[in-house]
This record gives sequence, C-alpha cells and structure tokens, in this order.
Amino acid sequence: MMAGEEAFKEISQQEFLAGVREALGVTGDRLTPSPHSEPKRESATHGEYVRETQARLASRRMELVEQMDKMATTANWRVRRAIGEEEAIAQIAAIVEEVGAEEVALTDHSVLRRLSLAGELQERGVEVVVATTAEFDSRAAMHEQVNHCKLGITGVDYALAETGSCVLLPRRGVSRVVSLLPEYHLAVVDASQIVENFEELMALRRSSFLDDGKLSSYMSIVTGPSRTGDIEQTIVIGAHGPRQVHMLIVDI
Amino acid sequence: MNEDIKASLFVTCLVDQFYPQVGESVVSVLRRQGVRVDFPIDQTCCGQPAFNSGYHTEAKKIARQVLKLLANSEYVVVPSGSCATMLRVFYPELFEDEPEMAEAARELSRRVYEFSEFVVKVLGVTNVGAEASGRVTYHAACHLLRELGVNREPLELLENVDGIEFAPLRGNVACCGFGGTFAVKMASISEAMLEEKLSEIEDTGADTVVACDMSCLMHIGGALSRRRASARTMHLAELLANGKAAADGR
Amino acid sequence: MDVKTAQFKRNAEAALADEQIQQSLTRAIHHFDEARDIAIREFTPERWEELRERGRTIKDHTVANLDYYLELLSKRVAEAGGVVHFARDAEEVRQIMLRLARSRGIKSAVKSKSMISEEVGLNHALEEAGVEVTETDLGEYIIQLADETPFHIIAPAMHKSKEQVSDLFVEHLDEPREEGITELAGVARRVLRPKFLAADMGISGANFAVAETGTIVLVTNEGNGSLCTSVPRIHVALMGMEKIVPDIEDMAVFLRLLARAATGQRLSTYTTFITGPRRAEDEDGPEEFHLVIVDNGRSRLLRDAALREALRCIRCGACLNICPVYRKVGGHAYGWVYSGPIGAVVTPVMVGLEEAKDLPFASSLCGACRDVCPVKIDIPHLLLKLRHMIVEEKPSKHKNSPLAERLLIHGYYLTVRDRRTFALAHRAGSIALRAFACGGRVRSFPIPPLSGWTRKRDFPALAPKTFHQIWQERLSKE
Ligand code: SF4
Repeated sequence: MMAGEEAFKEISQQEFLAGVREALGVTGDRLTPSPHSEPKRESATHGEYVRETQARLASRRMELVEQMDKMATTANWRVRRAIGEEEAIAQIAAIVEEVGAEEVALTDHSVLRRLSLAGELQERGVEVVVATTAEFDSRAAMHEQVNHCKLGITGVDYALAETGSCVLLPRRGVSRVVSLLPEYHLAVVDASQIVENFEELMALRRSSFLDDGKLSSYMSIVTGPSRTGDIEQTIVIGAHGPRQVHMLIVDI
Repeated sequence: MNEDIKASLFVTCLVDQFYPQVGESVVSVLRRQGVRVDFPIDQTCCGQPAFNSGYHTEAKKIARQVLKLLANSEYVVVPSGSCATMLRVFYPELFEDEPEMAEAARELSRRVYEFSEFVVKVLGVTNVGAEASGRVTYHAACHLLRELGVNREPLELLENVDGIEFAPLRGNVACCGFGGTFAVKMASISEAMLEEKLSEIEDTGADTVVACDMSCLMHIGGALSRRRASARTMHLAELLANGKAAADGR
Repeated sequence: MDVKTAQFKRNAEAALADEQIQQSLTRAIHHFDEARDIAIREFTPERWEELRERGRTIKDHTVANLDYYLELLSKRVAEAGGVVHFARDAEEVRQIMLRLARSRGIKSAVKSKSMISEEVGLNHALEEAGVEVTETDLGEYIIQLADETPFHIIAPAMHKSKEQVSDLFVEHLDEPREEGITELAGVARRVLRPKFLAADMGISGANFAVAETGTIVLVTNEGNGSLCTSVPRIHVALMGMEKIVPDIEDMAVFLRLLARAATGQRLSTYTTFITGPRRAEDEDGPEEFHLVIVDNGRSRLLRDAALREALRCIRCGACLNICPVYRKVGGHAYGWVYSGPIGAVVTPVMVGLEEAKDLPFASSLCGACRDVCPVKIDIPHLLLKLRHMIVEEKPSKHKNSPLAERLLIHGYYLTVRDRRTFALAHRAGSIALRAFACGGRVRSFPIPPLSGWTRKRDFPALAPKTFHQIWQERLSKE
C-alpha cells in the first residue's frame, strides 16, 4: 500500500448527505420527500394492475403481434413468425442454416426448453452449447465457448411493441452473454410476452419488485443489432454485439 | 377601427438614433388602423446592453425609469422583438429580489407587445392594405421567436402585402449571430454565423430581407453592404407602411 | 481532465480556422439534427411537449429531494449486494478507484462511456497505477488512442475523419491498414473483443440511477456497456449525484426522451438495468458491484435556486447540435468535459467562474437550445444569470470584467439615463462616426468594441434626425 492511500479516508454517506442537505438549504434530517409530482401505484394495488394489464394485452394479442412485427422490423430485426412448436423449430433450424452456424449457443430459457430446442438442433447435426456454468469449469471458459459460437439463441421475457425490442432477464440458466458475444442472435418471442409500451413494461417490473422486495440483477432491452455511428456519423451495423439479429414470434 | 385603443410607442434606442423611419412607419401603420399613438418623450433605451452583459446595477436603474415612464400606458408597442423581450421577460427576472419592483415589472409585461404581435393579436388585423414589389424573405429574430413565441404574426402580415413574392429562408430558425454584445465580444464566431445566414439569404434570391428587429437587420445589412450585395434590409413596419393607403378603411 | 476553459476565445479562433473541424461539424451536425427531427415528429407536438414536461417535473422533484433519494438509492444498492462510495471531488474519485484496483489486484479494465471519468481524469490515474484501461465505446477508443478529450457528449470522436482514424489504428494497433468505415469498426471489434473477455474490471457511467430499486441504467448502441458490466468480475459504475429518478416507472419517460433527443432513435440498441452484482444463482455477471456517487462541483449548482435547473440535464447532446456557436467552434474550444450550451452553464460553476468566465458569453442567447432540450432547461436565462454573477458577484464585484468594458457600460448608462444626454450623444456620435463614414456607412472603425464589428460588417451612420426630433417636429402634431 502506498503512503497517500493509507491516509485517504472515504467520506461517509452521512457526511456526504449533510453536504447535499446544506446545499439544498434543508435543515436537520429529512425523512420523507415532498410528494412526487407523478403519483405512483402503491404495492397494494399492484397485483390488480398486473392482472388488468395481462388481461388487456391478452385480448389484443393479434394486434400486438402485428405491431411487434412492424416495429421490430423497423429496428432491423429480421422477423419471422411461426404457429405451433413444430413450425417454430423448423423456422429456427432454417435460420441456423441460413447464417451458417455450426456451433450454436443457447440459454436454458423456458421458452427454448418447451421447444426442446437443444435436442432438436443436435438431431439436425448442429453443435449446441448450453451456456450454463454447470456445464463448464469456470465462467471464463463458458464465455470463451460462447464467444466461439456464430449464433446465440435466447428466449425473451418480454417483448416491447412500442419500439420492437426484446427484454431479457438473465438469471439461473440464462446467461447474459448469449445475446451479446456471437455474431448472430436469434430471439424467440412467445406472442404472449408482448407488451405494448414502456409504461406497461416498467410497471410490470416495478410490481415484481414490490412483490419480491428485489429486482433481478440485470435487465437488458435490446432493440436491433449492435451499431455505432462514431466514425463520421456513418452507421455501421455490428459494433461490439451481434451484427445480425433475428426474431421469431411464436404463437403456440 | 380601433379608435378606443391607445398605444405608447417604445421606439428603442437603435431606431431612435439610426433608423427613425422605422418609428415613423410604425406610427403610420398604427394610425391608419385608428390607434391613438403617443410617444413618452423621456424614453431612451431599455437597458438590454447592460443586462445582457451582466451589469444588473446599471440595467436596473434604467429599468426603473422605463417602468415609471410606461406606468400609465394602456399598451406599449415595441418595434423590436429583443427590446420587447427585455421589457416583458427580463424586467421581471431582473427584479427577482425586489418583490415590489418585480410586481410592477410583471404588470408592465402584460401590456407590452412587439409591433407585429400588437397588430395581429390586439388589433386583430392581418391585412393592413400594404403594397410593395420584389422578392421578400423573412428572418425570424431569435428573441421574437423564442422568448415571445411570435412567428405566425409577421408571416401573416407579410402574406397580405400585395405585389410581393415571398421566399422563405432555409433553416429560418438559426440566429444571425448578432446577440447584442456577442457580436463584438466573440466577433469571429458571430461572423461565422452571419456568413451562414447570408448564404441562406442569397439562396432565396430575395432583394429584400424583412425582420422585426433592427439589431438583426443592422447586423445582416452591415454585411450585405460590406459585400456590396444588392439585397436590402427592411423592418416589417416599413414594408407595411408602404400602403395603398388607409383608403379602404379596414 | 485538464481545465483549459480560460482560453475559449483562442481555442475558438483555432477551430474556426481548422478546415477539417469545420467539415466534420457540418457533416455530423446535419446528421444529428435531421435524425432528431424525424424521431420527434413521430409524436404529435403535444405528446412530445407532455413528455418533456414530465421529464422536467420528475427531475425537478428528484433534485429538490436529492438527499432523500440518494439515501434511498444507497440503501437499495446495498440491499442488492452492491457497495456504495461517495466522492466529493475528482481526487476522491481517483483514490476510491485506485484503492479498489489495488486491493483487488486489477490488471486490466474495460470502460464503457463515463463523463465522470473524463471529469476526474480517471484513465491516466489508473494507468499510472499500472492498470491497463481500455475505452470500448468506439468514439472514446479513438480519442483514447489519440490522447484527446471528447469533442461531443455523445459523439466523442466527431471531429476525426476516417482517414485520421485509419492512421491512428495503424500507429497504435498491430493491424493492417483499413480505409473504409465498416472495416475500421471491424478492427475495433476484433481488437477489443479479447480485452472484454480478459478484463478484471468493468467501469461504466450511469445514464440514470433508480432510487427505489437501487438500479443503474446504461444506454449504449454498440453493446459495449452490456459487455463491460457482464463479463469482468468487478463492475464499478460512476455517477454524478444528480442522475437519480425515483422509480423505474419514470424510465418510461426518460428513455423516450433520451434516445430521440440524442440520436433520433426510438430507443438506443442496448438499455441495461443493473441492480447489484450477480446473484448467487446467476450464470454470469460481476461478483462485486460498486457505485461511486460523485459531487465534483454539482452541489454548487444545487446551492443556487436558479442554476439548480442545470442538474436536470440528461446529457443527450441535443443542445450542442442545435447551437450555432457549437456548430462553428466544436467541443474542444470549451476546454473541459462539457461543451456547447450546457457546457457553458455547468463548466463555469464546476471548475470555477474565474477559470471559465468567457463561456457564459459564448452565446448569442438565441434560445435554440432551450427549444430542443428534452428536459426544458432554460439555458439562455441561466447564461444570463452567470454573466451577472461573473460581473457583479464573484469573487468581488467587478473583478472579473475588464476595466474597459466596465467603463463602456458605465458610459452607456450615463448616456441613456437622460434623454438630453442621449440627444447630445447623437450629435457627438454623428460627428465622430462621420469621420469614419463613407457613403452613409462606416467601413472601419479603429476603436473597440466597434472595431470588432467593422471587421466584416459595415456600421450604419447615425440618422440625420432622431425619432425624438421627428416626433416633436412633426408626428406629434399630425
Ligand atoms: S441541457 Fe438539455 S439538450 Fe443539452 S445535453 Fe442536457 S438534456 Fe440534452
């Protein structure tokens, strides 16, 4: 350790906040803020909101699929649709072939499990890497392996029709990097997962927080392929993430 | 007619000393509409040069005089978006820490109108029976456009001028680079901005550049004159005063 | 980052004379403006206005209750397993980061964009301590190689041509020369991928921090933010203390505002919500999550009831793109991290008024910035306020303005305070100007400030008669 470092003492939260209060001109401890300009639902009414929202969305399923398809296409997803599991698997196999992926990374997501996708692909001669640490010695090894795959296939947890985005909630069985490291990404969307707008998505996430007292560690809203405009403001598709993204909307 | 409307002209220092014909035009247009125009004789400047540069002490002294001068005016008409902004928007801010003066300033601000705004909003007139010729373009002065939110009014008035061809500026929202003391404090940047405005003007092929603010027009006109360009600048009031006369008595 | 704000005028002159910079500005700005316009037009004006208004009120509410929300945020981050650090200034940020790096044996770090790290000069500090730091946003990477500072909040390498990028890559990387933009982006991808996989630490900024859930929100288009926060074993996020919103429902407003105002997208490609480190059962994600909450001059903005408004800023860059001054001089002229209109407001307060006293004057006060600002910051009025502070408040009255200017303003006051002196001035001025006039205009005038005017513009001659005279002689009698 260096001398200067030992001497350094981090300022405490209390001290820091005292400075903020002083700047704000607040005296003493303040426990509650002035009322929020945008009144929010309390947890008591949240369950109700979730049920209402889900019912409303279910009643508009077809319309939302259309909107999702349209907006995702504008966001540069290559969108396909499938009705039923069989068609879904056939479509996925077609995409694997189209992108020329010999090795495919998968998350262990319920949507993919329901399709028995790993087995189905293996039967078709595709090398499948299920990206869970249980399968690897270390996380680094898992990342290396996923990095070698040309295509990553993930389920999604919500799809956002307003912007044509997929919402991924990494967790047990669902690695963060399958949608990131491979050159191609395929997101399999269950039609029932589509929400119409940000308000619904955020309110649903908030209700999950209010119910469980915590939020999952990570949520990623992905809207099309990775891109950059940093050289001469010319858009280049495929910066650090996938350069081509596919979406399969499955109505089972 | 609007015979029961009385308006005090706050002519602005620039018009007073450099462009008095603009003041004359305003008086003529308003009188033709029947407005009883007076001119509080003790006026000079609104104080903006001091305020704009940060000198509130001087600006306040001037503002106090103006507030007193215009205390009894029914309406105050200003042929400059920028000076109207000073009276209407900046006076109340200037006296933020003097409640009584701030109240007086807010009270005045409700009576202050920029010229074109006054004609359209208060008089309810969009055709003053003016006549002119040539190709005319319009520069939206920044304070008029963004502090006072006046854009439609001058355009409507222009639309109804007989005999002119209107050629809108591309990118009409951009500043000409005047900005008060900015034009001399940051002369190079100001010049670069002006350059762009001039090329936009050139593209319209207009022979007359109209605006509602002589400061912008002095700036634009100064460069046109330096380049010996044929286009001239003109305050909207001058164009409107150029009338088929009040004969048809609208 | 070094503060070079005192040289604004000189920097601006240099930028105006630099053809490469002028070209880049014209090209990029046009692109941004158009994209933003199209994106916003998807909404009705009323809808956009409503969103801006909501953004403004949410931010104002949060800033007015900043102590409460900071406390809540800190509590919730801790509950999610993260560690919160507080830093008052640049030195404290550096010390916190150095201690973290040393105690964890960090050898390499990958960074996603963070303006705070620019404020505090983090890269150099870490590098001196033996940590290899790699910027991963392509724009930031380019300027890191060039050892420059960001030219624009959201397009740091806007001023570089593809040829310059090509040269930089050849000079610094062991890669064959590429000329095309796509190929150059490909080089960066290739070179940076192994860095992501090998890095011990990921450093990021935070576009927003959600108090209720202890979540930070990162927005990128390249995906580098997601990689920096997913692969390395430690993630450190740096945030300005004003970046808070109360809860995630507020993000519905801000995500719409930010993407549209910044790049004209409906949503940036990757929007990542991070709440603490990975959970035990997660497949990946960092084992440690640290959040460094930074003041570094922000409480000075907070302290002033008017300037506080600037803390609403969500760093979208729209005000830069629309600003006729920024369009001419670009970002480096401003001499510090933040440029353009918002830079002219926050920089003087953050680095000290005396250090940056030209910046509030680097504006024609045209107000275009306020029109585009997604959170409706009244930038021109804040600039006026700062001008006033510079001239009359700090450090002591009139110290900051040149004597000549003070004399001039005083002379102006003496002239206009009475219409008789005003009339006298007209007479005197007519004589004076006549000496320099030809053909009714003044083509060159030797004495400042008018000499600045007549470099490229003629100055009008005074009218033979003032309006006062005309009124009294004629108009009043009609
Ligand atoms: S001031 Fe407004 S427009 Fe400028 S960067 Fe901040 S949020 Fe964007």
